[in-house]
Amino acid sequence: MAGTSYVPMTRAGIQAHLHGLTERLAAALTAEPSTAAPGYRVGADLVSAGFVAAEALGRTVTLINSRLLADLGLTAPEATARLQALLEATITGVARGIRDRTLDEQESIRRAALTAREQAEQALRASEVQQRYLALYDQLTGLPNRVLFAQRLAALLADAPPTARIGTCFIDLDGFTAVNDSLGHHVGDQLLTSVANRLVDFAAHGGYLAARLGGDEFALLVTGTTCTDDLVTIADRAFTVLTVPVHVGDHELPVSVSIGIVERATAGADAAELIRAGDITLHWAKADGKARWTVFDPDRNARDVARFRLSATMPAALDRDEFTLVYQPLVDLRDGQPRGVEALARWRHPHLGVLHPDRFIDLAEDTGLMVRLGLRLLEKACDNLRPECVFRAVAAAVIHQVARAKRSDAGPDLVWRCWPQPGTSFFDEADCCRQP
Amino acid sequence: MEPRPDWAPESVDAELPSAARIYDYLLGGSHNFAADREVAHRAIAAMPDVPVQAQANRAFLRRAVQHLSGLGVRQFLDIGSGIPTLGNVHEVAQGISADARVVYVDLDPVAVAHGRAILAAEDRTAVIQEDLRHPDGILGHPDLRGVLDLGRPVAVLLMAILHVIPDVDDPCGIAARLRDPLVPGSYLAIAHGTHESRPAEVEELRRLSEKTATPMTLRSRVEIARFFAGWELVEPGLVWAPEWHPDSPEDVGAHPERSSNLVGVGCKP
Repeated sequence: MAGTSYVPMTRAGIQAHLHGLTERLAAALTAEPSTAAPGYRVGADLVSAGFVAAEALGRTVTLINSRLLADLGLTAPEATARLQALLEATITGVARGIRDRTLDEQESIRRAALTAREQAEQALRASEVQQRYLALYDQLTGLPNRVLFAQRLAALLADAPPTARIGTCFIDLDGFTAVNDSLGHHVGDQLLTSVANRLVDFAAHGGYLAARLGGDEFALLVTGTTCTDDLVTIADRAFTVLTVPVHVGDHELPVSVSIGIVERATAGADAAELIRAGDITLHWAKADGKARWTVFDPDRNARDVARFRLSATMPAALDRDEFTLVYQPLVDLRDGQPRGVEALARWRHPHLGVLHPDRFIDLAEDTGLMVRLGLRLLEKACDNLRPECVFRAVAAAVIHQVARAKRSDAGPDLVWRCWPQPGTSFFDEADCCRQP
Repeated sequence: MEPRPDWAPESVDAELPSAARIYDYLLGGSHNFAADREVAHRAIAAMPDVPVQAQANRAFLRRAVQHLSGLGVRQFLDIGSGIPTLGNVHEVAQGISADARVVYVDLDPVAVAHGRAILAAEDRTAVIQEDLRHPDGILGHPDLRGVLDLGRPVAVLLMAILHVIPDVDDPCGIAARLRDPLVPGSYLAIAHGTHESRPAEVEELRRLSEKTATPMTLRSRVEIARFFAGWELVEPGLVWAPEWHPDSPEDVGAHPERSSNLVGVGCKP
């Protein structure tokens, strides 16, 4: 019997077990009155011990048939009939045992598969919920992030009645980078959390939506305003609430904020445009000196947009060589003789015509194109100069750049003067390029 | 197929044959699906005594647990335990000492769910779903820590599992990360398939296994011995499965090498 099935017993253990079963069969054969029932139970016990392989049943039949009567010394025809009945009962016991066991195991493995699948689906759903949360909420403060803010804004605009108005306050902490840099991100994070908590309280009282748009930038979304002044009042209160110092550990951190206020009718408003307007108004509040609120100004916006468009075309304009110089003679008033020339920058714009430096020098500074532009114009000037003047022209240009770098309020200028005579001093170049 | 994102849990696919359920079928169990039996039938066609080999491995597990229990080991960590079937480690170990503690680990979520259902009432056992390739995740698992005290010796059982770890996953490193945190007096028992005795048939089995979730990488005796690096092999060393402390000499048979599995037990000095 050993070897037909995996039975978790030692060889001796298996032998003892099978011996016991054989004794029970032998007892059944000789019992009075005769009964086949023990055969059935022996069959069932064979299966519970682990003799479940088809080969085990075959071997059992052979052993019972070939050995049992002979080993017991039973020869009567009645004994053979008893043996057949006992064998039938044993086979029935084994077959039913295997069948029941198979069904039980199939049921349990299917239940396990079902459980495993449910758990996997639950885990999937949980991770989806988690992913959704992470995609829409800021992890540090728990506030809605820029994505959710934009979604809510778009939804409010879509559902708003035709006469409704809506407003946003974009709020930025002034000097936050310095806090992070000097006291560490740990302190910076606590400062952000404190400000976020104040903003959440403030928003909850007024029924506004607070969000963290990123870094040290927050926002309030306000519905039901009747005019811009409504929102200015709210922004002013938010300003007061937020600019109370925050205590982090031993540090008392002053809080200064800049706020960009945008308020308008929902009709025709677009979420992306509102957000852009909020961003630029906040930028103005910062540029105008921080620690203040600034209201969106359509004219200033139009100028900014035009400037931005112009600056975006500058690199291509440089490649196309649209920047040129015009020269203005410098005349000595004492004798009316020309003493030198001034080189004045011009942008021959294909659509806007000839632009003077006050339209593009700041843009070149802001976009980092100043050095490239300066070198290009210097080259042009040198090409046009008599060779003996080139050295002085370059020296003057360098001195000019140094002077310019030292000035904090650098105005629009890009002029090099080329003096054929030594010892002549500078004019203020800004005066020269401003046209009357 | 798209790669599975990190945050998505393992899927459960009864259509994909599972090593745990194939092994169950080979041992005579019915905890398996048609896809598992299909692979098992093909394995038997390639190597008719595959069921006998599975039985030999299972019998080695039983003898190893009995032997280690006899040496006083009371904590067992069975990684790649498969479908709980007859002769589970806790039955064998607790049959010798009632206070024996056993943690079962399997990657197959069905095997784990089934194990948990069966062992729900047992407080000295736990079943965790983990990958052998994350030994730190296994040893650090809170359910394991609830059952096993790693300050005392543990017997780690790696039965027919290291040969489903390809070389690219650094099985030696995995074994080391399992061995290193254990205290002296801990044991490591390994059964590992090898191509040394029946290369052609075993290669056929290996090719078949590529269709399952756990393809096999068979190794030489020298390579298998490396998994015990620095530990002392218990007598009789690394031998064919039927040769390790047989219950009786006739159990070894004339051709123990036909088991195609080398087994051994190492002890941390």
